[in-house]
Amino acid sequence: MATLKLHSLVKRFGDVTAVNGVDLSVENGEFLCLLGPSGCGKTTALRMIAGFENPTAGDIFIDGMPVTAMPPNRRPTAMVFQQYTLWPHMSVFQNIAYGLRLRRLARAVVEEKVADGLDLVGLAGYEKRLPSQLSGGQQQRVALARALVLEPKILLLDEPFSSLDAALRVRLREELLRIQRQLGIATIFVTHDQEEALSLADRIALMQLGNIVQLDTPSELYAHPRNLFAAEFIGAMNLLPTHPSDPTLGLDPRTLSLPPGMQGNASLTVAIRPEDFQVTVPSEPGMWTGEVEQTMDMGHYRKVLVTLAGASAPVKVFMAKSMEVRERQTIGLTPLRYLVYAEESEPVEVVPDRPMPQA
Amino acid sequence: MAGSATTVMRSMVGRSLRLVAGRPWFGICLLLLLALVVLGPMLNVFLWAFTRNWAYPSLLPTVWSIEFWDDTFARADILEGFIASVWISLIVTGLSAVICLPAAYAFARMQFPGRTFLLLSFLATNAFPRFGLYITIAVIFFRLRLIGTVPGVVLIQLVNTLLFMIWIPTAAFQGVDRALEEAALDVGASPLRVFLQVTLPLVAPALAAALLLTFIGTFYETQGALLVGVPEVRTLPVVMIRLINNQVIVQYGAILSVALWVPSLLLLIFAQRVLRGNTIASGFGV
Ligand SMILES: Nc1ncnc2c1ncn2[C@@H]1O[C@H](COP(=O)(O)OP(=O)(O)O)[C@@H](O)[C@H]1O
Ligand SMILES: [Mg+2]
Repeated sequence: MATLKLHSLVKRFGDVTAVNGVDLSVENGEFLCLLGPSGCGKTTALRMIAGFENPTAGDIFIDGMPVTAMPPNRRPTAMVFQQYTLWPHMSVFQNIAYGLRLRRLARAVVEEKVADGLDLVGLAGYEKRLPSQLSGGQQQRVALARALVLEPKILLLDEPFSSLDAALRVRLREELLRIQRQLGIATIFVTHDQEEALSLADRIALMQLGNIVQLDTPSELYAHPRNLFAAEFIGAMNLLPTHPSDPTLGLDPRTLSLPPGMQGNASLTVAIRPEDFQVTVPSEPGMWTGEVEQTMDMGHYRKVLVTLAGASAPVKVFMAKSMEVRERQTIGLTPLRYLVYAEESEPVEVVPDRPMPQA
Repeated sequence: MAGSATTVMRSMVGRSLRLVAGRPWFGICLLLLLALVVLGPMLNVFLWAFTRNWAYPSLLPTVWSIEFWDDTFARADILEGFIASVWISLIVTGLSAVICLPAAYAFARMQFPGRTFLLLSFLATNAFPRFGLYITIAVIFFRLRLIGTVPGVVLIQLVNTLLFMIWIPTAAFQGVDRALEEAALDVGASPLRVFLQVTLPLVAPALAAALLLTFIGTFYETQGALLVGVPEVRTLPVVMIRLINNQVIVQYGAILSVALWVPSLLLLIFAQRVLRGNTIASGFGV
């Protein structure tokens, strides 16, 4: 049975609709990311689950029980906030013990659970510190321990690492995933960082303007973004317009293997991942040819911007560093896989079966 | 508003500190001058309180004595004045807290029409000449037969306390991060418990400062007490004025002055303890 179920959840603030009819269910032990640009309603959705906002409409069920009317202090959820929220007048021990003491547990039990919690987040021995004596990363670890010792049914995190530096963010991400797997706790993690979501989630709920536009595994979301917003938001993507009725605008449709159902459309968008190009130097007949505008060394691969006929912006291409290209050089590009988007319909994946010219 | 005032004050203090930091000699001279201006008269008063005879050119009293202390506190009017002052100040501070603190919480947390206007109106009681206001109040009190009564004095002194008791706590409540309260709700604390165990400890230093300022301000308040209290109710400052007007014995004034330091010092020590207790919370007992 699903641990959490949201049913047509809506939240309006005056004229602003922050969450616009969200349906979602989170399974036992699942790690779900709510992903989307700033202002799309992620925090509002999470705060409704925690009980800090009352839904305008819709219902929330935890373990099958309706909790929509339950105040936050009685919900079996625990939250880690975006900003640091350790109580400054309490020590680390007191912060973590606070919720346990409210449950009237014996002193020895409280001490044991606090010690276990601190162990889990790698801060054993920090009991007597004050929050002001901890770094940002340590404070968020304590906040995580404070949430976990209560053994909530659902762990909620709202961009908990967004104010930390990049290296620390990656480390805490890995730590969180290890802990989540170890405890098997259903987790909802809010982030606007698609890379963070891809690396953490079992499933990602991609949000736009208060709606979930796609709910899928990271690899599925990456391979088959359901609309242009998803295509552009997840990973790097080239969006190239083409017009079957007018070959002079955009990409020449004759160089594409357009699906039969789409050949009558006035305008389409072709989405190609930068790693889905085969690069040929020099170019050969039958390929797209373009001029290299810029090359960037990205460590284990090379990123190249190519000016392509029919493309309004330079096309991003990722290629192996074993192949040499120079700026201003003309190269050949062969797309190995792409998606074609028509307005108001599902995208179609195309894997051209033409024989590839060898480089 | 209160926030921007503090910011301005902070930047002014910051600027003068930087000025001093750049020129150590300038700073030291400024400090000595300040000590001379502030502490000089206080030291002089302190010495007079233990003097029988102080011949002019001598730097210190020529004949020391504590006999005037006995004389001073043997006087019934002074002792009664002291007791009256303590009681009235306690009542005024308590009443002010009961009225103002919930109001401050509402100002900080709720949006209602006329909020800004109301908040500013408390400034008005201090921005305009006080004595005019007092005369008007006295006229009304006269009709209500409140002149010469303790409730009359308490009421007029209450007017004075509104500004500090509203503005300081309002700013303090506004300064509490709501997420800290939500985090407490989240782990299971009831709203009342959140207020008592999270909000209140966070604003306690500011509330203590407001109470302290109110008590001391009321203890030394003279105009209102003089206008409304006499002849029946005489607080210590009122008694002092009469003493000084009637017979010029420097020691009486000096001793009363020194005696009046006591509540200030006590409350300063108390405030310091509250502030320290709050910043260095240690031990596991909640
Ligand atoms: N308390 C509130 N009052 C009014 N509008 C709000 C409030 N909270 C959020 N909003 C609005 O709702 C929308 C979604 O906000 P939020 O859930 O914080 O987005 P996200 O977390 O995805 O950045 C935004 O347009 C925001 O301005
Ligand atoms: Mg947010």
